Order: sequence, then structure tokens, then C-alpha cells
Amino acid sequence: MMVDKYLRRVLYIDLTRLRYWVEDRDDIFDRWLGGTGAAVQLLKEELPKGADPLGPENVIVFAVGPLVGYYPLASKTVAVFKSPLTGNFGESHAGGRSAIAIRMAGYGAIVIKGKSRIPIYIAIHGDKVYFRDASAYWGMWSSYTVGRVVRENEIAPGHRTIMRIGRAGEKLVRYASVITETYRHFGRLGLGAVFGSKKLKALVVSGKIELPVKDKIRFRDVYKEIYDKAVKSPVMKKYHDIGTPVNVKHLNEINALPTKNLKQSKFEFAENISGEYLAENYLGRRVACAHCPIACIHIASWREPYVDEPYFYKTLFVSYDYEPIFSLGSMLGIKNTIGLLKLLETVEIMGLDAMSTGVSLAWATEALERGIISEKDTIVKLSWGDYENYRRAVELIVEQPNEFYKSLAMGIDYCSSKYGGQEFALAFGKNEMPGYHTGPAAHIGFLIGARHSHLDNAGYSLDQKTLGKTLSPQELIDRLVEEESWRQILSSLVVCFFARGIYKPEIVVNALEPLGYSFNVDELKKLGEEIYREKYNLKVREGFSISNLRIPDRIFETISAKGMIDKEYVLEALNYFKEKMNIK
Amino acid sequence: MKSAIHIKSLGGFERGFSVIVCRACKDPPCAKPCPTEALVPRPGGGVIFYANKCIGCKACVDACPIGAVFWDDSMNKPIICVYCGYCVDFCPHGVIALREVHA
Repeated sequence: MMVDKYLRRVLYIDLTRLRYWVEDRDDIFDRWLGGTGAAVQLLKEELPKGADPLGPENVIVFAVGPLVGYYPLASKTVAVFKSPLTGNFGESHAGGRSAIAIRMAGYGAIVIKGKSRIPIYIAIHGDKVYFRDASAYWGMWSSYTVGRVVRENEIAPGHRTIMRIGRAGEKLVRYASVITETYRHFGRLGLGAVFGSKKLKALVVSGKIELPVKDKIRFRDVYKEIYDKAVKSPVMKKYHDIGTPVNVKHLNEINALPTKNLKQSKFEFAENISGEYLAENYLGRRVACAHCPIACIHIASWREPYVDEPYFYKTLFVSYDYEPIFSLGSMLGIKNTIGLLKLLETVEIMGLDAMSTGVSLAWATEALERGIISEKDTIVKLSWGDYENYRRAVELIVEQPNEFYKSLAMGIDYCSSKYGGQEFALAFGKNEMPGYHTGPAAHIGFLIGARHSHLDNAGYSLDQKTLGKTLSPQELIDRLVEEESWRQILSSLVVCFFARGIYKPEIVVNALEPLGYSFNVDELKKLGEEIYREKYNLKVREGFSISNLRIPDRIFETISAKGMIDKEYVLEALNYFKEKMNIK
Repeated sequence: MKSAIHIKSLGGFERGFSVIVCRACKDPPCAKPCPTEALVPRPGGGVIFYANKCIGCKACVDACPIGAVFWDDSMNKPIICVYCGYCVDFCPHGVIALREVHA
């Protein structure tokens, strides 16, 4: 097998020495496909064991895969790094134009290491890498402004990606995100803080190579087949019409919508924050990532008056998805739709992960309610539904004016270990929970997922597919591991997980063939298992153990879509997982 | 064959996009400054490109008022739309269309 000459090129950037070079890594891309498969290997090579996630020794790897640039919905970039939130393996995916831009710049991966002395940003235009002074951008109030100034400063509109961090990343909030193309994010696990620790404010990538196709006739046929499936098939419907927030009403109905720090799994005002209501009243535009015909990015717009002058307005925009709506909406008891959008906007301005921020504030609200912490700690009174105070609290997480906010910026696993209230601190593997209280598979999935994300193994989906049935703990684990293993292939290609219903194993085999790859389904599945194992090896190397996982009691106290969750069942499943994986 | 279509946002995704593609002018400005007759008006509108006559002077790029003459760096020649209409089949929202014109 011969990987195309561009995919196997890895661009190394050393921020300490301000140098860059390119290496031909056909060894890695031949063996591990690309995307997550390749990125894990590159990280393993470069990252010293036990590295400080916020030290110069941490490494960021961005990787794309063989299908990127060729087929619709192969539109994602994988980032891997050591997470400052969990202290272990970190992985985050984003679309926008990032994947196409990296591919067209002629690289399969970009490895960033070291630490700059002054704030800088990197501009990669094809073969050239420019280090640019970002001192004037450092401390800028809004991440939107950073995007604007970089946009004006650089070439290649339409072909480029502009990744940037907000002040949350600069201030090393452990769940700061990297924003790309304003409305997409490398969220979860704190890539933004890793950027901040390296004094890296932004990363621009563009280029215009020509991708070779081995069998052009076959390529056109497969392309058309995938395209037709994408635009016509019902499996994509939920993403383009209402978008991911179609989940709000549905999950609410089945007792799976985490509400008020999961004291409830039903929100009495779910309608106000539902996808249907938002689409009806606030949907201003829908856009797509580059090379995707779906357009799942839903952007809300609303008119806001200036406070000091009549008939003076501005129109604001913010993108919304299910997860931010759950974490900043139901989880905080917010029923005011505009209030939710404004809170979401503040999170974007600061450059935080919406899920971790919302879940952290939900924990803080309950902790305040119970008197574990006081208003002296929180500075503003946090109470369910009070979005104005939550907006201020989001800024305080970034500013960190006192010991409490310094701790909250470390994540709720840390904060609750210090202040108490661990039993209702909803973090799994130290990562704040996503919006699914569907049943045991969801929570076990968060615990065992290699990046503790709901998208690792889709336990939430397994719960919903098996409503009214009980799987044995062993069967449940087997199915989660099988799903996560196959997803390693999708994220190595790199195909958007939303398109998993289209990119079935047979289609993947067909898509790879005209590009010169010859795989059969079994070989692909085996490779997926190997990549999964490689990730786990790296996790274990960095000190991960199932036995040390903290399971918040709260999940056993609130009814889920599958009834009350049995703790014994969860423990049995985890034990079986340990045996199956041969880990502690 | 290289794509002669370019999409860019208007300074932020929320403001929408520009689709830049040759609109097959009846009296094409790009052909006028061509010193070697590599670009000649095409019956019915647009231009025909004779690559073997092109010296790569880029006069056509400057002449197109909508920026629809793109540049092929590897060949050092313009990328000119051949009106095949292939792109139309892959626009799910009917933004671009190919219309048949009788010369």
C-alpha cells in the first residue's frame, strides 16, 4: 500500500526554538491510516512519560486522514495532546475548514511542541511557516475579535482555517477550547489551555495542492454514491433540519435530560430551549463545514438594543447545538431562551468548553444551595435560572479572582475534592458529563471511553436502542468496546461521526479503493481494535486505572430513561472491562 | 481538470458566502487583453481557452471584474471554466445552475 505523497508528510513545529521541518512518515500513515490512528503514534513518540500537560514538553498533534479532501463528510481534524483537565490522554475533533485546509496545505499531520517566549501565532501557508507576534492579541476581551484581526492579517480567504483561543486558554482554564471558523470547536479536555501554556494564540493553515486520484472513474462513482446517501438518506435528517437540539424534547420525554445538576432528568421548561422552538424563533442561518452538504451548524440570531440610546440595535449571532443547550440550559435551570443564548455567547467570547462550564456551574449552584461553599466564594449568587449571574460567573472562571474560582477553573473533580460535594460532582474520568442520563450504558461509556466523551462509544445510543430490555453487564461492555473500536477507523479517515450511518464498513472499503488502498472489512475492523488498544496503552502509561475512577452517586439517585441505575451493575461492568482489557 | 469555482465567507460564516464562478459573459472582459488569442469569446457567451497559446501573463486574471479567472500555479496558466456543469449536480441547495444558451 502506498499512502499519497501528501498525507504522509508531517510538519513539525518547535515553539521553543521557533523552527519547523517536514518529515516523510509513510511508516506511520501506512500502518495507522491517518487521523486518530496516526496522531496517537506521533503523540506517543514525542510526549515524555508523565509530562506536565501545561509544560513545554506537552505536544499537540493535529491529523487528517486519507478520505479528507476526497469525499463529502470527511471533514474533521483530530487533535491529540495530554489533557490538563484529566492529566491523561486528550483527544478532540473539529470541522469548520480545518481538515481541508491542513490537507490542501500538503500535510497529514502537524506536530506542535515546545513553548514560545512571547505570545505568537503561527501561519502555515503551504510549505512556509511564519511565526507572527501575537502580543497585541493577548488579553483581548473577545475571541470573536481575535478571529477578525487574524482574518484581516492573512491571505487565502475561503481556503484557510483560523484556529484561536480566547482568554480562557490564556488563563489556563483546564477546559478552555480552541475555536475554529468562529462556530466550531476543539472542545473538551482543555486543548485551549495547552495552546495558552505554549503562548500560542492562533494557528492559520492554508494551501492549494492537487490531490491525486488513482482510479478517477471509480472515484466519481463512489463519490456520487456517498453524496446521494448524504443528501437523500433519512440517517442525516436529524442533523440538518432541527439539528442536534432535536434531542432536547425527546430526551426530556424519556427522563434523560440532565436538569439542575441532575437532581432531575426532566425539565419543566424544556420547550423553551428545544430545537424546535429555537429554529422557529431564532435560527438565523445554517452553514456547513467545508466539504459537507448537510449544514448541521445552526446559528441563532437576535436583536439586542444598546442600553443608552433608543432605536439603536445590534444583531448578535451564536451557534447552538444540543450539548451547550443541555449544559448551559437545563443543567442550570434556564428557561429564558434569550438568556440561554446570551450565556452561550459569553462562553464563546471567553473560549470555554460549553459542557464543562455548564456542568461546573451546576455543581457550584448546588454546593451553594447546600452551604458547602458560600457567596463569599462565588462572589455572585448562583441560583437556577439566573442567567445574568451565570454570565458573570463564566467571566469569573476566567479571571479567577479568588481561591474558589481558581479551583473551579481546574474542573469540578478537583474543585469538589477540595470543597466537598463529590457525590454530586458530575465528572467522569475527570471530564464533566455530557447531556445524557439515558441509562447505565451512557455513564459506563463516559467512564471507559478513551477520552471520556459520549462520542467515544455512544452508550447513550445503546441505552435508547435497548429501552425496556436489560443487557448483561458483559454484553453491554462488549458492545461499547466494539463501537469504540470501529469509531477509531472513522476518526482515522477522518469522517465526521454524524456520518457514521453512511460510512458503513463496506462503503469505507469502496471509498478507499480508488485512492489506492486495498482493505477488506475484517482488516479495517482489526485495525480499529488495534488503534483502540494503542490509545489505552498510552492512557495506562500515563497512570490511568479503572479502579481509581470516581463514580458520582448522583447518577444512582435520579431516574433515567432506563429507570433507576443499579450501582452493582455498573461496578460489575467495570470489572468485566478490566478483565477484558487486562488493565487495573 | 481543475475546479474553476471558489467559495468564501463574507468575513465570518454568519454573514453568508460568495460563490465565485464564471458567468459566461456575452462580451467577456477576460478575452480582451489576451495578447496571444489564447482566450477567445465563445459563441453564446464565455470564453474558450487554448492553453498552447497562453504565455501566462495573467492579464485575464486582472481583467475579470468578478475574480472568476483562477490561477494554476503548477502550469502557470489560468483555470478557465469549461461550462461542464458538474458542480451543479453537487449543490444540494440549488445555488448554482447551468443554463443552456443557443448561440
